[in-house]
Amino acid sequence: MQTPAPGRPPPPLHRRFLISALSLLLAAAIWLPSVHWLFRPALQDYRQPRAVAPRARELAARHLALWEDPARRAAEIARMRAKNAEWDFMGRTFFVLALANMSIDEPQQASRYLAVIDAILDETLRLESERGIYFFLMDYARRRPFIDQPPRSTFIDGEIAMMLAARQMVRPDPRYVPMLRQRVDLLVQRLSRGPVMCGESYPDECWMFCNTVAVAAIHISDLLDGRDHSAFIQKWLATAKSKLVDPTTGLLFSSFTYDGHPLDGPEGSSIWTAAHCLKVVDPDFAAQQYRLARQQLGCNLLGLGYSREWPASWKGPDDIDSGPVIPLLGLSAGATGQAFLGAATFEDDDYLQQLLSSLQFGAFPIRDRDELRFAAGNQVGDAVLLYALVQGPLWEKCAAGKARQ
Amino acid sequence: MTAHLQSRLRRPAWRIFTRPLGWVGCAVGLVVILGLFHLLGWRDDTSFISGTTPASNTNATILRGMLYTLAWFSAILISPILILASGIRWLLHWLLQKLLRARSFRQVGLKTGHSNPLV
Repeated sequence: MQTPAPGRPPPPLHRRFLISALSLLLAAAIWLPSVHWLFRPALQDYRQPRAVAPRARELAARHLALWEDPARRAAEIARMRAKNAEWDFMGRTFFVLALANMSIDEPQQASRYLAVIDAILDETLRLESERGIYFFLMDYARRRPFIDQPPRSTFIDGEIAMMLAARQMVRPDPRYVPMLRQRVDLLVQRLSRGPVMCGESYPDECWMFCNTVAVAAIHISDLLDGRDHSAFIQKWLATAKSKLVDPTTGLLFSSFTYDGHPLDGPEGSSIWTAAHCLKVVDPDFAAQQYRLARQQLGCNLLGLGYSREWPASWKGPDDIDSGPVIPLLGLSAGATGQAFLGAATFEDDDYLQQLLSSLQFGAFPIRDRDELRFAAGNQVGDAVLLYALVQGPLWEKCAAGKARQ
Repeated sequence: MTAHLQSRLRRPAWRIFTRPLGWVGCAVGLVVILGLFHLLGWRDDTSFISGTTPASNTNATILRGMLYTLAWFSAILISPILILASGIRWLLHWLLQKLLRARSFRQVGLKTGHSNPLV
Protein backbone atom coordinates (compact mmCIF):
# COMPACT_ATOMS: atom_id res chain seq x y z
CA MET A 1 0.00 0.00 0.00
CA GLN A 2 2.85 2.37 0.83
CA THR A 3 4.88 1.21 -2.15
CA PRO A 4 4.11 3.36 -5.17
CA ALA A 5 3.17 1.71 -8.44
CA PRO A 6 6.19 0.90 -10.64
CA GLY A 7 7.22 3.93 -12.57
CA ARG A 8 4.86 6.14 -10.58
CA PRO A 9 6.45 8.67 -8.16
CA PRO A 10 5.44 8.37 -4.48
CA PRO A 11 2.70 10.79 -3.38
CA PRO A 12 4.08 14.09 -2.19
CA LEU A 13 4.91 14.17 1.47
CA HIS A 14 2.42 16.89 2.32
CA ARG A 15 -0.39 14.85 0.76
CA ARG A 16 0.61 11.78 2.77
CA PHE A 17 0.66 13.87 5.90
CA LEU A 18 -2.76 15.35 5.21
CA ILE A 19 -4.26 11.91 4.50
CA SER A 20 -2.73 10.61 7.73
CA ALA A 21 -4.10 13.48 9.78
CA LEU A 22 -7.53 13.09 8.21
CA SER A 23 -7.47 9.34 8.90
CA LEU A 24 -6.57 9.89 12.54
CA LEU A 25 -9.31 12.48 12.93
CA LEU A 26 -11.91 10.22 11.34
CA ALA A 27 -10.80 7.26 13.47
CA ALA A 28 -11.04 9.36 16.65
CA ALA A 29 -14.47 10.61 15.59
CA ILE A 30 -15.61 7.00 15.21
CA TRP A 31 -13.91 5.50 18.26
CA LEU A 32 -14.30 8.04 21.04
CA PRO A 33 -18.12 8.20 20.97
CA SER A 34 -18.20 4.38 20.86
CA VAL A 35 -15.82 3.65 23.78
CA HIS A 36 -18.58 3.64 26.38
CA TRP A 37 -20.21 0.62 24.72
CA LEU A 38 -17.15 -1.43 25.70
CA PHE A 39 -17.67 -0.55 29.36
CA ARG A 40 -21.45 -0.35 29.56
CA PRO A 41 -22.57 -3.05 32.01
CA ALA A 42 -26.04 -4.53 32.19
CA LEU A 43 -27.85 -2.51 34.84
CA GLN A 44 -29.37 -5.63 36.42
CA ASP A 45 -25.85 -6.94 37.15
CA TYR A 46 -25.44 -4.03 39.56
CA ARG A 47 -28.89 -3.12 40.77
CA GLN A 48 -32.13 -5.05 40.98
CA PRO A 49 -35.41 -4.09 42.60
CA ARG A 50 -36.04 -6.07 45.79
CA ALA A 51 -32.90 -8.17 45.36
CA VAL A 52 -29.13 -7.94 45.74
CA ALA A 53 -27.63 -7.86 42.24
CA PRO A 54 -24.59 -10.07 41.49
CA ARG A 55 -21.97 -7.29 41.42
CA ALA A 56 -23.44 -5.71 44.55
CA ARG A 57 -23.14 -9.09 46.25
CA GLU A 58 -19.47 -9.29 45.24
CA LEU A 59 -18.84 -5.81 46.64
CA ALA A 60 -20.59 -6.82 49.86
CA ALA A 61 -18.57 -10.04 50.05
CA ARG A 62 -15.37 -8.05 50.13
CA HIS A 63 -16.64 -5.76 52.90
CA LEU A 64 -17.98 -8.66 54.93
CA ALA A 65 -14.59 -10.37 54.61
CA LEU A 66 -12.91 -7.17 55.83
CA TRP A 67 -15.14 -7.01 58.91
CA GLU A 68 -14.81 -10.72 59.59
CA ASP A 69 -11.01 -10.68 59.26
CA PRO A 70 -9.42 -8.21 61.72
CA ALA A 71 -6.01 -8.24 60.01
CA ARG A 72 -7.41 -7.30 56.60
CA ARG A 73 -9.63 -4.67 58.18
CA ALA A 74 -6.75 -3.10 60.08
CA ALA A 75 -4.66 -2.82 56.91
CA GLU A 76 -7.50 -1.24 54.93
CA ILE A 77 -8.44 1.20 57.67
CA ALA A 78 -4.80 2.22 58.20
CA ARG A 79 -4.54 3.06 54.49
CA MET A 80 -7.57 5.35 54.70
CA ARG A 81 -6.78 6.92 58.06
CA ALA A 82 -3.34 7.91 56.77
CA LYS A 83 -5.17 10.31 54.45
CA ASN A 84 -8.43 11.07 56.20
CA ALA A 85 -9.84 9.76 59.49
CA GLU A 86 -13.35 10.68 58.31
CA TRP A 87 -13.20 7.98 55.64
CA ASP A 88 -12.80 5.31 58.30
CA PHE A 89 -15.97 6.56 59.98
CA MET A 90 -18.01 7.09 56.82
CA GLY A 91 -16.98 3.70 55.49
CA ARG A 92 -18.62 2.22 58.60
CA THR A 93 -21.82 4.25 58.17
CA PHE A 94 -22.33 3.45 54.51
CA PHE A 95 -21.59 -0.23 55.03
CA VAL A 96 -24.02 -0.45 57.96
CA LEU A 97 -26.71 1.23 55.84
CA ALA A 98 -26.00 -1.17 52.98
CA LEU A 99 -26.25 -4.17 55.29
CA ALA A 100 -29.50 -2.87 56.77
CA ASN A 101 -31.01 -2.73 53.28
CA MET A 102 -29.65 -6.17 52.42
CA SER A 103 -31.07 -7.59 55.66
CA ILE A 104 -34.54 -6.41 54.67
CA ASP A 105 -34.14 -7.81 51.14
CA GLU A 106 -32.66 -11.13 52.31
CA PRO A 107 -34.22 -12.06 55.67
CA GLN A 108 -32.52 -15.48 55.56
CA GLN A 109 -29.11 -13.71 55.68
CA ALA A 110 -30.18 -11.06 58.20
CA SER A 111 -28.54 -12.74 61.21
CA ARG A 112 -25.13 -12.71 59.52
CA TYR A 113 -25.54 -9.12 58.38
CA LEU A 114 -26.80 -7.96 61.77
CA ALA A 115 -23.84 -9.58 63.50
CA VAL A 116 -21.51 -7.48 61.34
CA ILE A 117 -23.62 -4.33 61.89
CA ASP A 118 -23.41 -4.89 65.64
CA ALA A 119 -19.66 -5.46 65.48
CA ILE A 120 -19.22 -2.19 63.58
CA LEU A 121 -21.52 -0.29 65.94
CA ASP A 122 -19.88 -1.65 69.08
CA GLU A 123 -16.38 -0.91 67.87
CA THR A 124 -17.33 2.59 66.65
CA LEU A 125 -19.02 3.45 69.94
CA ARG A 126 -16.04 2.08 71.88
CA LEU A 127 -13.57 4.13 69.83
CA GLU A 128 -15.67 7.26 70.22
CA SER A 129 -15.92 6.70 73.96
CA GLU A 130 -12.21 5.90 74.46
CA ARG A 131 -10.59 8.27 71.96
CA GLY A 132 -13.17 11.09 71.83
CA ILE A 133 -14.80 12.78 68.86
CA TYR A 134 -11.49 13.88 67.38
CA PHE A 135 -10.55 10.29 66.54
CA PHE A 136 -12.87 10.36 63.53
CA LEU A 137 -12.29 14.00 62.57
CA MET A 138 -9.55 15.60 60.53
CA ASP A 139 -6.78 17.35 62.44
CA TYR A 140 -8.02 20.85 61.78
CA ALA A 141 -10.92 20.18 64.18
CA ARG A 142 -8.47 20.88 67.03
CA ARG A 143 -7.31 24.26 65.74
CA ARG A 144 -10.10 26.26 67.36
CA PRO A 145 -12.96 25.60 69.76
CA PHE A 146 -16.47 24.58 68.75
CA ILE A 147 -18.92 27.48 69.21
CA ASP A 148 -21.59 25.24 70.71
CA GLN A 149 -20.13 23.81 73.91
CA PRO A 150 -19.38 21.17 75.07
CA PRO A 151 -17.67 20.16 71.82
CA ARG A 152 -19.55 17.62 69.75
CA SER A 153 -19.66 16.99 66.03
CA THR A 154 -22.97 16.61 64.17
CA PHE A 155 -20.97 14.53 61.67
CA ILE A 156 -20.26 11.93 64.36
CA ASP A 157 -23.56 12.14 66.26
CA GLY A 158 -25.68 12.18 63.10
CA GLU A 159 -24.04 9.16 61.50
CA ILE A 160 -23.99 7.15 64.74
CA ALA A 161 -27.69 7.93 65.21
CA MET A 162 -28.32 6.88 61.61
CA MET A 163 -26.43 3.59 62.06
CA LEU A 164 -28.36 2.84 65.26
CA ALA A 165 -31.70 3.78 63.67
CA ALA A 166 -31.05 1.66 60.58
CA ARG A 167 -30.05 -1.31 62.74
CA GLN A 168 -33.20 -0.98 64.83
CA MET A 169 -35.41 -0.71 61.75
CA VAL A 170 -34.21 -4.13 60.66
CA ARG A 171 -34.68 -5.91 63.97
CA PRO A 172 -34.89 -3.94 67.22
CA ASP A 173 -32.35 -4.83 69.89
CA PRO A 174 -33.17 -3.54 73.42
CA ARG A 175 -29.45 -2.87 73.96
CA TYR A 176 -29.47 -0.06 71.39
CA VAL A 177 -32.79 1.57 72.40
CA PRO A 178 -31.36 3.96 75.04
CA MET A 179 -28.30 4.69 72.90
CA LEU A 180 -30.43 5.82 69.97
CA ARG A 181 -32.78 7.79 72.18
CA GLN A 182 -29.91 9.59 73.89
CA ARG A 183 -28.17 10.39 70.60
CA VAL A 184 -31.38 11.73 69.06
CA ASP A 185 -32.10 13.91 72.11
CA LEU A 186 -28.63 15.33 71.84
CA LEU A 187 -29.04 16.10 68.14
CA VAL A 188 -32.44 17.73 68.59
CA GLN A 189 -31.11 19.82 71.46
CA ARG A 190 -28.03 21.01 69.60
CA LEU A 191 -29.66 21.59 66.21
CA SER A 192 -32.55 23.48 67.86
CA ARG A 193 -30.24 26.00 69.47
CA GLY A 194 -28.25 26.69 66.30
CA PRO A 195 -29.07 30.03 64.60
CA VAL A 196 -30.00 28.13 61.38
CA MET A 197 -31.01 24.92 63.17
CA CYS A 198 -27.81 23.17 62.18
CA GLY A 199 -25.03 21.69 64.29
CA GLU A 200 -21.31 22.08 63.76
CA SER A 201 -19.39 19.20 62.24
CA TYR A 202 -16.13 21.10 62.75
CA PRO A 203 -15.61 24.31 64.75
CA ASP A 204 -17.85 27.01 63.23
CA GLU A 205 -18.38 24.76 60.22
CA CYS A 206 -21.75 23.16 59.56
CA TRP A 207 -22.21 20.67 56.71
CA MET A 208 -25.52 20.07 54.96
CA PHE A 209 -24.49 16.43 54.42
CA CYS A 210 -24.15 15.83 58.17
CA ASN A 211 -27.28 17.76 59.13
CA THR A 212 -29.51 15.96 56.62
CA VAL A 213 -28.19 12.62 57.91
CA ALA A 214 -29.02 13.78 61.45
CA VAL A 215 -32.55 14.92 60.54
CA ALA A 216 -33.25 11.64 58.71
CA ALA A 217 -31.99 9.69 61.74
CA ILE A 218 -34.31 11.69 64.04
CA HIS A 219 -37.25 10.87 61.76
CA ILE A 220 -36.45 7.14 61.69
CA SER A 221 -36.02 7.13 65.45
CA ASP A 222 -39.53 8.58 65.79
CA LEU A 223 -40.89 5.71 63.72
CA LEU A 224 -39.18 3.28 66.10
CA ASP A 225 -40.01 4.69 69.51
CA GLY A 226 -43.24 6.54 68.70
CA ARG A 227 -41.99 9.94 69.79
CA ASP A 228 -42.89 12.93 67.62
CA HIS A 229 -40.27 15.36 66.39
CA SER A 230 -42.30 16.36 63.35
CA ALA A 231 -42.58 20.00 64.47
CA PHE A 232 -38.80 20.14 64.86
CA ILE A 233 -38.29 18.57 61.43
CA GLN A 234 -40.77 20.92 59.75
CA LYS A 235 -39.01 23.89 61.34
CA TRP A 236 -35.64 22.52 60.20
CA LEU A 237 -36.91 22.13 56.64
CA ALA A 238 -38.41 25.64 56.61
CA THR A 239 -35.13 27.12 57.86
CA ALA A 240 -33.07 25.20 55.30
CA LYS A 241 -35.35 26.24 52.45
CA SER A 242 -35.34 29.90 53.46
CA LYS A 243 -31.76 30.40 54.64
CA LEU A 244 -29.53 27.66 53.27
CA VAL A 245 -30.37 27.56 49.56
CA ASP A 246 -28.09 29.16 47.00
CA PRO A 247 -30.32 31.67 45.16
CA THR A 248 -28.53 31.18 41.83
CA THR A 249 -28.81 27.42 41.57
CA GLY A 250 -31.64 26.64 43.97
CA LEU A 251 -29.39 23.99 45.53
CA LEU A 252 -28.63 23.65 49.23
CA PHE A 253 -25.29 25.06 50.35
CA SER A 254 -22.82 22.37 51.27
CA SER A 255 -21.15 24.13 54.20
CA PHE A 256 -21.75 27.28 56.20
CA THR A 257 -20.79 28.89 59.47
CA TYR A 258 -22.73 28.23 62.67
CA ASP A 259 -24.76 31.40 62.06
CA GLY A 260 -25.56 30.38 58.46
CA HIS A 261 -23.02 32.33 56.39
CA PRO A 262 -22.15 30.16 53.33
CA LEU A 263 -18.60 28.78 53.21
CA ASP A 264 -18.93 26.58 50.15
CA GLY A 265 -21.66 26.72 47.56
CA PRO A 266 -23.56 23.69 46.39
CA GLU A 267 -21.14 20.77 46.09
CA GLY A 268 -21.46 17.49 44.23
CA SER A 269 -19.75 15.65 47.07
CA SER A 270 -22.52 16.80 49.41
CA ILE A 271 -25.80 17.41 47.58
CA TRP A 272 -26.43 13.89 46.25
CA THR A 273 -26.37 12.34 49.72
CA ALA A 274 -28.27 15.30 51.17
CA ALA A 275 -31.06 14.70 48.63
CA HIS A 276 -30.99 10.98 49.48
CA CYS A 277 -31.48 11.71 53.20
CA LEU A 278 -34.12 14.36 52.58
CA LYS A 279 -36.20 11.81 50.68
CA VAL A 280 -37.14 10.17 53.95
CA VAL A 281 -38.38 13.43 55.53
CA ASP A 282 -39.61 15.54 52.59
CA PRO A 283 -39.78 13.57 49.32
CA ASP A 284 -40.89 16.54 47.20
CA PHE A 285 -38.09 18.81 48.36
CA ALA A 286 -35.62 15.93 47.94
CA ALA A 287 -36.80 15.26 44.38
CA GLN A 288 -36.51 18.97 43.56
CA GLN A 289 -32.94 19.05 44.92
CA TYR A 290 -32.05 15.93 42.92
CA ARG A 291 -33.53 17.38 39.74
CA LEU A 292 -31.56 20.61 40.15
CA ALA A 293 -28.36 18.73 40.97
CA ARG A 294 -28.84 16.50 37.95
CA GLN A 295 -29.27 19.56 35.71
CA GLN A 296 -26.32 21.47 37.08
CA LEU A 297 -23.86 18.83 38.23
CA GLY A 298 -24.74 15.61 36.41
CA CYS A 299 -22.76 15.26 33.18
CA ASN A 300 -22.38 12.83 30.34
CA LEU A 301 -19.25 12.85 28.19
CA LEU A 302 -19.46 10.48 25.23
CA GLY A 303 -21.76 8.14 27.15
CA LEU A 304 -19.66 8.20 30.33
CA GLY A 305 -21.45 9.78 33.27
CA TYR A 306 -19.84 11.84 35.98
CA SER A 307 -20.62 14.60 38.45
CA ARG A 308 -19.12 18.03 38.66
CA GLU A 309 -18.10 19.24 42.11
CA TRP A 310 -19.34 22.76 41.50
CA PRO A 311 -22.13 24.15 39.33
CA ALA A 312 -21.03 26.50 36.55
CA SER A 313 -22.04 29.51 38.62
CA TRP A 314 -19.76 28.70 41.57
CA LYS A 315 -15.98 28.55 41.72
CA GLY A 316 -14.62 26.63 44.68
CA PRO A 317 -11.39 24.99 45.74
CA ASP A 318 -10.57 21.26 45.58
CA ASP A 319 -10.78 19.67 49.01
CA ILE A 320 -10.51 16.28 50.67
CA ASP A 321 -14.16 15.51 49.84
CA SER A 322 -14.01 16.41 46.18
CA GLY A 323 -10.54 15.02 45.45
CA PRO A 324 -8.72 16.65 42.55
CA VAL A 325 -11.20 18.36 40.22
CA ILE A 326 -10.35 17.79 36.55
CA PRO A 327 -10.06 21.18 34.84
CA LEU A 328 -12.56 22.08 32.07
CA LEU A 329 -14.79 19.10 32.87
CA GLY A 330 -15.14 19.99 36.56
CA LEU A 331 -15.18 16.24 37.22
CA SER A 332 -14.73 15.19 40.83
CA ALA A 333 -14.25 11.58 41.92
CA GLY A 334 -15.84 12.34 45.30
CA ALA A 335 -18.92 13.94 43.72
CA THR A 336 -19.22 11.16 41.15
CA GLY A 337 -19.14 8.52 43.89
CA GLN A 338 -21.98 10.27 45.72
CA ALA A 339 -23.90 10.69 42.44
CA PHE A 340 -24.45 6.91 42.39
CA LEU A 341 -26.50 7.29 45.56
CA GLY A 342 -28.55 10.12 44.07
CA ALA A 343 -29.21 8.31 40.80
CA ALA A 344 -30.18 5.06 42.57
CA THR A 345 -32.41 6.84 45.13
CA PHE A 346 -34.36 8.72 42.48
CA GLU A 347 -34.42 5.76 40.08
CA ASP A 348 -32.59 7.68 37.37
CA ASP A 349 -31.53 4.56 35.48
CA ASP A 350 -30.05 6.39 32.49
CA TYR A 351 -27.67 8.38 34.67
CA LEU A 352 -26.91 5.34 36.83
CA GLN A 353 -26.00 3.36 33.73
CA GLN A 354 -23.71 6.15 32.52
CA LEU A 355 -22.05 6.33 35.94
CA LEU A 356 -21.54 2.56 35.96
CA SER A 357 -19.92 2.78 32.51
CA SER A 358 -17.49 5.36 33.90
CA LEU A 359 -16.79 3.11 36.85
CA GLN A 360 -15.81 0.26 34.55
CA PHE A 361 -13.83 2.64 32.36
CA GLY A 362 -11.78 4.50 34.92
CA ALA A 363 -12.03 2.96 38.39
CA PHE A 364 -10.11 -0.26 37.66
CA PRO A 365 -12.38 -3.04 38.96
CA ILE A 366 -10.57 -6.05 40.44
CA ARG A 367 -12.44 -9.32 40.91
CA ASP A 368 -10.83 -11.85 43.17
CA ARG A 369 -12.81 -15.07 43.63
CA ASP A 370 -16.26 -13.84 44.69
CA GLU A 371 -15.08 -10.39 45.80
CA LEU A 372 -15.17 -7.14 43.84
CA ARG A 373 -13.41 -3.89 44.57
CA PHE A 374 -12.33 -0.85 42.62
CA ALA A 375 -8.59 -0.31 42.75
CA ALA A 376 -8.78 3.44 42.07
CA GLY A 377 -10.99 3.91 45.13
CA ASN A 378 -10.90 2.74 48.69
CA GLN A 379 -13.14 1.09 51.25
CA VAL A 380 -15.34 4.15 51.76
CA GLY A 381 -15.78 4.58 48.01
CA ASP A 382 -16.79 0.95 47.62
CA ALA A 383 -19.12 1.21 50.63
CA VAL A 384 -20.91 4.24 49.12
CA LEU A 385 -21.27 2.34 45.85
CA LEU A 386 -22.58 -0.74 47.61
CA TYR A 387 -25.09 1.31 49.57
CA ALA A 388 -26.24 3.01 46.35
CA LEU A 389 -26.72 -0.36 44.66
CA VAL A 390 -28.77 -1.93 47.46
CA GLN A 391 -30.54 1.12 48.90
CA GLY A 392 -34.32 1.31 48.79
CA PRO A 393 -35.81 -1.24 51.22
CA LEU A 394 -34.92 0.78 54.33
CA TRP A 395 -36.39 4.02 52.99
CA GLU A 396 -39.48 2.11 51.80
CA LYS A 397 -39.91 0.66 55.27
CA CYS A 398 -39.64 4.17 56.71
CA ALA A 399 -42.20 5.49 54.23
CA ALA A 400 -44.55 2.64 55.16
CA GLY A 401 -44.01 3.39 58.85
CA LYS A 402 -44.76 7.06 58.28
CA ALA A 403 -47.96 6.20 56.40
CA ARG A 404 -49.12 4.05 59.32
CA GLN A 405 -48.64 6.91 61.82
CA MET B 1 4.70 23.70 2.15
CA THR B 2 8.06 25.20 3.02
CA ALA B 3 11.31 23.34 2.50
CA HIS B 4 11.86 23.50 6.25
CA LEU B 5 8.62 21.69 6.99
CA GLN B 6 9.29 19.18 4.22
CA SER B 7 12.64 18.33 5.79
CA ARG B 8 11.04 17.96 9.22
CA LEU B 9 8.42 15.61 7.83
CA ARG B 10 11.13 13.41 6.34
CA ARG B 11 12.60 12.76 9.79
CA PRO B 12 11.87 9.27 11.16
CA ALA B 13 9.91 10.55 14.17
CA TRP B 14 7.42 12.20 11.86
CA ARG B 15 7.38 9.39 9.34
CA ILE B 16 5.69 7.08 11.82
CA PHE B 17 2.61 9.29 11.55
CA THR B 18 2.34 8.74 7.84
CA ARG B 19 2.82 4.97 7.88
CA PRO B 20 -0.13 2.75 8.71
CA LEU B 21 2.09 -0.15 9.66
CA GLY B 22 3.83 2.14 12.12
CA TRP B 23 0.46 2.93 13.64
CA VAL B 24 -0.48 -0.70 14.00
CA GLY B 25 2.93 -1.33 15.58
CA CYS B 26 2.35 1.50 18.06
CA ALA B 27 -1.13 0.19 18.88
CA VAL B 28 0.18 -3.29 19.57
CA GLY B 29 3.06 -1.85 21.59
CA LEU B 30 0.69 0.09 23.83
CA VAL B 31 -1.40 -3.01 24.50
CA VAL B 32 1.71 -5.07 25.24
CA ILE B 33 2.93 -2.44 27.72
CA LEU B 34 -0.45 -2.48 29.48
CA GLY B 35 -0.36 -6.28 29.60
CA LEU B 36 3.11 -6.18 31.11
CA PHE B 37 2.10 -3.66 33.79
CA HIS B 38 -1.00 -5.72 34.50
CA LEU B 39 1.05 -8.89 34.99
CA LEU B 40 3.32 -6.96 37.35
CA GLY B 41 0.25 -6.21 39.48
CA TRP B 42 0.41 -2.44 39.08
CA ARG B 43 -3.39 -2.15 38.68
CA ASP B 44 -3.61 -2.25 42.48
CA ASP B 45 -1.45 0.85 42.70
CA THR B 46 -4.05 3.01 40.94
CA SER B 47 -5.42 3.67 44.43
CA PHE B 48 -3.25 6.79 44.26
CA ILE B 49 -6.23 8.32 42.40
CA SER B 50 -8.23 8.36 45.66
CA GLY B 51 -5.18 9.29 47.70
CA THR B 52 -5.12 5.93 49.47
CA THR B 53 -1.63 4.53 49.21
CA PRO B 54 0.32 2.32 51.58
CA ALA B 55 2.28 4.18 54.25
CA SER B 56 5.59 2.71 53.08
CA ASN B 57 7.13 3.10 49.64
CA THR B 58 4.54 5.69 48.68
CA ASN B 59 6.43 7.35 45.84
CA ALA B 60 7.15 4.07 44.06
CA THR B 61 3.48 3.07 44.45
CA ILE B 62 2.27 6.37 43.02
CA LEU B 63 4.68 6.12 40.09
CA ARG B 64 3.54 2.57 39.29
CA GLY B 65 -0.08 3.64 39.58
CA MET B 66 0.45 6.59 37.27
CA LEU B 67 2.24 4.46 34.69
CA TYR B 68 -0.53 1.87 34.80
CA THR B 69 -3.21 4.57 34.42
CA LEU B 70 -1.36 6.08 31.47
CA ALA B 71 -0.92 2.66 29.84
CA TRP B 72 -4.60 1.81 30.42
CA PHE B 73 -5.98 4.94 28.82
CA SER B 74 -3.45 4.72 25.99
CA ALA B 75 -4.43 1.13 25.24
CA ILE B 76 -8.15 1.85 25.50
CA LEU B 77 -8.30 5.20 23.75
CA ILE B 78 -5.27 5.49 21.47
CA SER B 79 -4.63 1.94 20.23
CA PRO B 80 -8.05 1.43 18.63
CA ILE B 81 -7.81 4.88 17.02
CA LEU B 82 -4.45 3.96 15.48
CA ILE B 83 -5.75 0.66 14.15
CA LEU B 84 -8.92 2.24 12.75
CA ALA B 85 -6.89 5.09 11.27
CA SER B 86 -4.56 2.71 9.46
CA GLY B 87 -7.57 1.13 7.76
CA ILE B 88 -9.09 4.52 6.94
CA ARG B 89 -5.78 5.72 5.57
CA TRP B 90 -5.50 2.70 3.33
CA LEU B 91 -9.01 3.37 2.04
CA LEU B 92 -8.38 7.09 1.49
CA HIS B 93 -5.13 6.39 -0.30
CA TRP B 94 -6.81 3.84 -2.54
CA LEU B 95 -9.65 6.25 -3.35
CA LEU B 96 -7.20 9.04 -4.07
CA GLN B 97 -5.17 6.86 -6.40
CA LYS B 98 -8.32 5.91 -8.27
CA LEU B 99 -9.30 9.56 -8.51
CA LEU B 100 -5.90 10.66 -9.75
CA ARG B 101 -5.73 7.85 -12.27
CA ALA B 102 -9.17 8.72 -13.60
CA ARG B 103 -8.18 12.38 -13.86
CA SER B 104 -4.95 11.62 -15.70
CA PHE B 105 -6.87 9.35 -18.12
CA ARG B 106 -9.35 12.14 -18.75
CA GLN B 107 -6.59 14.68 -19.37
CA VAL B 108 -4.82 12.38 -21.88
CA GLY B 109 -8.16 11.68 -23.54
CA LEU B 110 -8.90 15.38 -23.96
CA LYS B 111 -5.51 15.91 -25.65
CA THR B 112 -5.92 13.03 -28.12
CA GLY B 113 -9.64 13.51 -28.72
CA HIS B 114 -10.46 10.02 -27.43
CA SER B 115 -12.48 9.38 -24.34
CA ASN B 116 -10.27 6.38 -23.61
CA PRO B 117 -6.55 7.27 -23.77
CA LEU B 118 -5.65 3.62 -24.36
CA VAL B 119 -7.44 3.57 -27.68
